[in-house]
Amino acid sequence: MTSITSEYILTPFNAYPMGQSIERGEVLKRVCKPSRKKMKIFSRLEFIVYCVFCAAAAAIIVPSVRLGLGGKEELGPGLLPFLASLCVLATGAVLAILTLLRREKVNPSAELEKIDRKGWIRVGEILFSFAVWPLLVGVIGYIISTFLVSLGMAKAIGYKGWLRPIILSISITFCIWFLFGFMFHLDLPAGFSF
Amino acid sequence: MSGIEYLIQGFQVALAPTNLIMCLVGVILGTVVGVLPGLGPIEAMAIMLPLSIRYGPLAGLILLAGVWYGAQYGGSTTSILVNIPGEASSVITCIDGYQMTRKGRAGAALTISAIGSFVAGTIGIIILQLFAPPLARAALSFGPIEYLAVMLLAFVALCTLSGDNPLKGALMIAFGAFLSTIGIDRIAGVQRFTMGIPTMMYGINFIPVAVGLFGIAEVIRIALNPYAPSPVKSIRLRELYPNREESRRSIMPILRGSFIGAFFGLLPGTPAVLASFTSYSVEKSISPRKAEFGKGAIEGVAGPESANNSAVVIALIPLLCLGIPLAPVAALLLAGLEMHNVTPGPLFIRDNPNIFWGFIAAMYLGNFLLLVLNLPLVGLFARVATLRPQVLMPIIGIFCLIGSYTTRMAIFDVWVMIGAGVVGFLLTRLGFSMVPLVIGMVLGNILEDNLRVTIQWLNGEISLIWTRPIALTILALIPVYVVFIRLAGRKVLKSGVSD
Amino acid sequence: MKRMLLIFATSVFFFGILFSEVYAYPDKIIKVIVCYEAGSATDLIGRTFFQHMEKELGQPFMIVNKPGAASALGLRELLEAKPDGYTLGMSCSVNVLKILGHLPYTHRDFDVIGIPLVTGSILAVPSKSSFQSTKALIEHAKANPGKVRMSTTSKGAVFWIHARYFERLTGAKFNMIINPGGASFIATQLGGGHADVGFAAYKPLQSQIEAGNIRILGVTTEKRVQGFPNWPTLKEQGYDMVVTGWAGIVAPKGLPSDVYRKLVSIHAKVAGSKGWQDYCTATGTMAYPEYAGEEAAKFLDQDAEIQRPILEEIGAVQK
Repeated sequence: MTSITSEYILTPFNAYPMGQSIERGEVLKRVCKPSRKKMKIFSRLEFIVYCVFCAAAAAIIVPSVRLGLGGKEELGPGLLPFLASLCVLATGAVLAILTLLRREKVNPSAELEKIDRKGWIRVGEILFSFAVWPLLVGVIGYIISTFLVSLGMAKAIGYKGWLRPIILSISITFCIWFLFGFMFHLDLPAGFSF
Repeated sequence: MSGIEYLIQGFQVALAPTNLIMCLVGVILGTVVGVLPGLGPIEAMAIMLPLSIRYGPLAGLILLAGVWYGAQYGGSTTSILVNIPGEASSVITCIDGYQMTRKGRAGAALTISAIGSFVAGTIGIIILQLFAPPLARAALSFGPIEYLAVMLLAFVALCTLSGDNPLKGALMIAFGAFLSTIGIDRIAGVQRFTMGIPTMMYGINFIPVAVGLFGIAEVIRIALNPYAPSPVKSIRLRELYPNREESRRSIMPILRGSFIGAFFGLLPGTPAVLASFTSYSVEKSISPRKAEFGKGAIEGVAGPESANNSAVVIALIPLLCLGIPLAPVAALLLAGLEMHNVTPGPLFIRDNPNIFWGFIAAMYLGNFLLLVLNLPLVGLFARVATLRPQVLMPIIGIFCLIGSYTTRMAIFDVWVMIGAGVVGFLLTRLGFSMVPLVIGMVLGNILEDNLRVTIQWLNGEISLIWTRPIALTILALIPVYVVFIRLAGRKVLKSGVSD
Repeated sequence: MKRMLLIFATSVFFFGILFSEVYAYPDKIIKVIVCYEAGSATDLIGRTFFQHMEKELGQPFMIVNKPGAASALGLRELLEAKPDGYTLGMSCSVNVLKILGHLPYTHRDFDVIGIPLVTGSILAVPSKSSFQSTKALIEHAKANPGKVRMSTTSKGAVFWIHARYFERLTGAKFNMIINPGGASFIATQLGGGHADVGFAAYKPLQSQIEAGNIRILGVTTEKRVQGFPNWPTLKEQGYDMVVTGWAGIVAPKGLPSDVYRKLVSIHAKVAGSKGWQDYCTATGTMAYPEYAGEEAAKFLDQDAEIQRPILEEIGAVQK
């Protein structure tokens, strides 16, 4: 497992054979083409994010001014939002332009890992489990919701079998009940059951 | 009676069985509360208020204060082990602490954190014991302009943490500052960007965001590849504790952190958060190993963890000697005292010497108890890091969910946490650092409030600033600090990176 | 015969349950939503009062703090709670929230249990201030509009309303320093000499007053305060400013009548008890045991009518 994943670990510098030795070039040629496309996809995502920031900032500017910027004697509630959104707009725009210019060159400080579809599915399942808890807890109560969600998370992250995850979920739920419900006497949502 | 005699008498009182038990209960509870994400000292203290009334003002004060500074010990545990901040003040510890865990040095990080907390707490208590009244008077002489000057200094200091790309850092700070404005403006009384959702009226709470940005984002990252080999195969006893080099490197950060924390303790707001952030920034700026910060530098754990402990101890000074709770948590302590009809204030030490000195002695004891409690647990905690993701993730996930809910008993906060997790994960992959975002959220509000109150105070006459010597001194420190940082950085380049 | 016995037994059984419900209130912990931050003045008042109530009622009270929007957030939650007497709320502004625009309900949409405490505001100056009397202060402020700094709390809060009312009443224009941190910052600013004057209740200012850093020019009550007879009222100095702050206990509307009656009678008993009266005297506040139940609701009606023109004058009303 380890060896396979390491082959696919790309760093920005490895992806471009310029100035690299030939042997590396041979290995990289296999992964280079898809990686360059990946770079573009990656930059495109970055570009989209900057545009989202800019758009959101632009949308906030008018309401901020409307809140009131205030004068010499009293700063209005709109001042900080106004300045903040201006800053976001400016930096976002500059970064977006830079991304466009840099399209063929290197970039992000993060290391790229080849993620397969299965990884994204797992992420989806985990996020789903997270989201399910607040939805269920108001209805069924926290004991059952906690149990179900922790079971879901355990399975999503690849816990084989059923007995052990269930035992884990029960212990987690018990700890939560003991700490928060019993010791601290907090009012965790009880739904219609507890 | 001289100070030492008072102190000895104080110890006699503090060692009385009731007070000792209250101390133990307080610090243990505080540690537990600190470890749990979301639940903070305020909630725990509020729950303990009825109990604190039963045994007299000293016992009550010992109990409640124990919870507060105990929480500063516990908060770093989850930050270091699983990248989940247990307290707002432990957010910055996540950065280097968690990286140390990934390198297998969790035990060292936890130990240094505990020792640093103890040293800083003790230094804080000594300062409190010797200088409380004059420091309180000094705190009283701080008006709106002085607070603003200090926050500006802190802001400049924290700007150095904006990460590799200043543009991205600026974007994050501005975004964070914007997030901090959501809610009801406390000065003008109008709603800002609440979009009609009632819970938003109180703003976006910081803890769920921090838990999401750091904790949930990390859960997502691990979910992408849970089968990656763990760098931490097994923990040998020798690896549990810091090696000689780590210990040597931690000494100065701990000392510096203690005094930085002491300074912030006298200011209004949340002293522990600002103190830990500033300490990290200072350590990073003057360290010859700048590049290591963010990848597991021990200084990044030692400094902040010490700063937050001394800040909390010193924050008791305005409470006890002025009767004014400058931090929200201090307000609870005030409530606890008032319910015994004891009013802290400038006459407190004079009228209630037994309470004051008993309390000081109890703090020394409590600090020591915490060290004794936490050190042996380091081994147990470090082993948690070796659990495989299949077991660890559900545990973390559930505690994060429940934790973010318990900050305000609002489901809304859980959604905020999940959203922050997704956003944090996405932005981290795109090369953004979460630290400036957090700084923006924390400082945005404080700076804005102080600036607006100052402008009201000046009422258009900017020239009034020249009449405030303290403010001028602090403002003058800003360029001094910048120059100092530049010099320190140049010294690093000249001498090369030593290791 | 058997059928009669069955009907008899069943009815006794049901009556028994009914009676046991009635006499068994309360049989578990009562939750109180205090709509202010833990440690704040109202929170403290609430905790002390409910401590006394606990002794009378025999069941512990669990205080939960839900601050925000001048108690609107906490009250919103209270509205959704079951009206069974096990959830109560504490607020200082429940009668004006509709006027302010924070909540579309008034105190008449709740079951008002009582008003445990009423307090006047103190007009305070730093002790080294040159103002020896309210008259001197007002004259100076009129001669120098916008120069005299008045420290106050957030817009819409009780002390801010008092400060603005004072401005309007005297015709003097002050430089209002609005502190987002609450009344304790008024104490800091006055004690440290950073502001010239301020309105606050006694409790937040107590330690600074005792230390001699703050001096009292007047108090906004009808008559002199019992515990502090040397404080002149503003009324006797010639300024018709009688405004009070208060804390009120409410419950969601629709309480069973026996539960309501029990709560109201216990409230009146505790408010009139020596322990609570002593507490009020010591903190410079007042408690009227007759402000319970319907009387309390009437007081809130009157108070809202007093506050309305003030709020309209100072422009706080949400149109």
